[in-house]
Amino acid sequence: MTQQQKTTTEQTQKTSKYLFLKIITLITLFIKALLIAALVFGLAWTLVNINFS
Amino acid sequence: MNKTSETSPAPIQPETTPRIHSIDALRGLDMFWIAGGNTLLITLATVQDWQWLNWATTQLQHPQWAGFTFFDLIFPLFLFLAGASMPISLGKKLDQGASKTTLLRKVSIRSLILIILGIIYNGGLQLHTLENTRLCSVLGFIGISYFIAALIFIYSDAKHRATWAIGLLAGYYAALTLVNVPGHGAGTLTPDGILTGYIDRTWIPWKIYTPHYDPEGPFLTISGTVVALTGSLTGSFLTKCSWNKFIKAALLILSGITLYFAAVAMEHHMIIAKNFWSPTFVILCLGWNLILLGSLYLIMDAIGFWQWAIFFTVIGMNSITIYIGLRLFDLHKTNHFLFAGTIQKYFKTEYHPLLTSITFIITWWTILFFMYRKKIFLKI
Repeated sequence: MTQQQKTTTEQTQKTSKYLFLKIITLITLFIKALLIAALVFGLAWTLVNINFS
Repeated sequence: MNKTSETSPAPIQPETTPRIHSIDALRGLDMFWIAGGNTLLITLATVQDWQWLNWATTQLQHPQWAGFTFFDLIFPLFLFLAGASMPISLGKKLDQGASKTTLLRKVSIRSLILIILGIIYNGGLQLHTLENTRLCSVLGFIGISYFIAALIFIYSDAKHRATWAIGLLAGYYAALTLVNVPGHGAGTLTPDGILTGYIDRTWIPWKIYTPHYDPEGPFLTISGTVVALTGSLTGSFLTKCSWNKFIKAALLILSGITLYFAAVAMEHHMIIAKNFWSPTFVILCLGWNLILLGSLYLIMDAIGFWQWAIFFTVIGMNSITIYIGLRLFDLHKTNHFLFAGTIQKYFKTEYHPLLTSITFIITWWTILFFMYRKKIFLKI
């Protein structure tokens, strides 16, 4: 493998790794948003359905 | 060579956060409409029968239940600007190395004071019967929303703050449409059937604003938090981002227009209503907030033409003072004492209401201007 091919492969690997991390971050944020939404929903449901008597 | 200077590091200069003129001016413009601007326009309409003026006066009242007028924007805009100031106030302290616990304590105290001031504003110190004492208030709403948003601001970066804002709004939408309200079912968006109204009636002790719901009810602070958080994101964008100011202004305006159309497109799924801070209302207000701030940022901070707005800046720098001051002190009496003689002697009776509203603004603005000149800014 020539030096140029090596550099190109390294660059591609770096880009793939960067994209992979970006996607993982986005998925994590999406899950976090869903959990926050579920928290609000759960709070509303509890406030309506809780009965102390 | 001086050895000391070589070994001991130079003191770290905290990064200075630039003042954003447009935020102060817009806050002032916002407060102006509830501090006398509305009366000025209404009294002007009594002496001038212009069509646009008659339309403008209709924008100075809240709709009964659903719909949107300019007056609905005042409160969310104030909250948005409180959020936009977070990177300047809290963010600056964080940059200077203040501990998060200290900031949290300060924010908690500030919010508590706002809640107490809100009860006082509602006449809490008049010691009416408990059934006639209202706990919910505009200031309390700001206090709670600001507290939650500041908590998230202190412990999260911009990406996570955006996630919180989206999650909170989505959760609020889901709750409004899916949680079953006893006697009304899920997704009933009427004054007596709305989820938030049911929570107000069930959980708020003592008086609520209307028989069915309170427009400043505690559950609505979820939407309030979203507005303040979005404000903080905007503030971070304006203070931290190194892009050209013209590009930043253009992006704000474009984002605002996009959000505006998004809200209008979603209106047939969820009504736009300030009375329960519906998600579409929040998105519409964010749209307008970004358009207004972006436009003023373009004129005042990008072009640098900010001196003209001194009238509004003076109000914006002491906004809570004027809001509470007008409630506590009878400045109408002061206005009457100072100007009524002149008005009655030299002007026709039909112009008296208009001139009185103008001199009333002059009265309280002069006090604020004096405070501004003396650098007295009452902050909570």
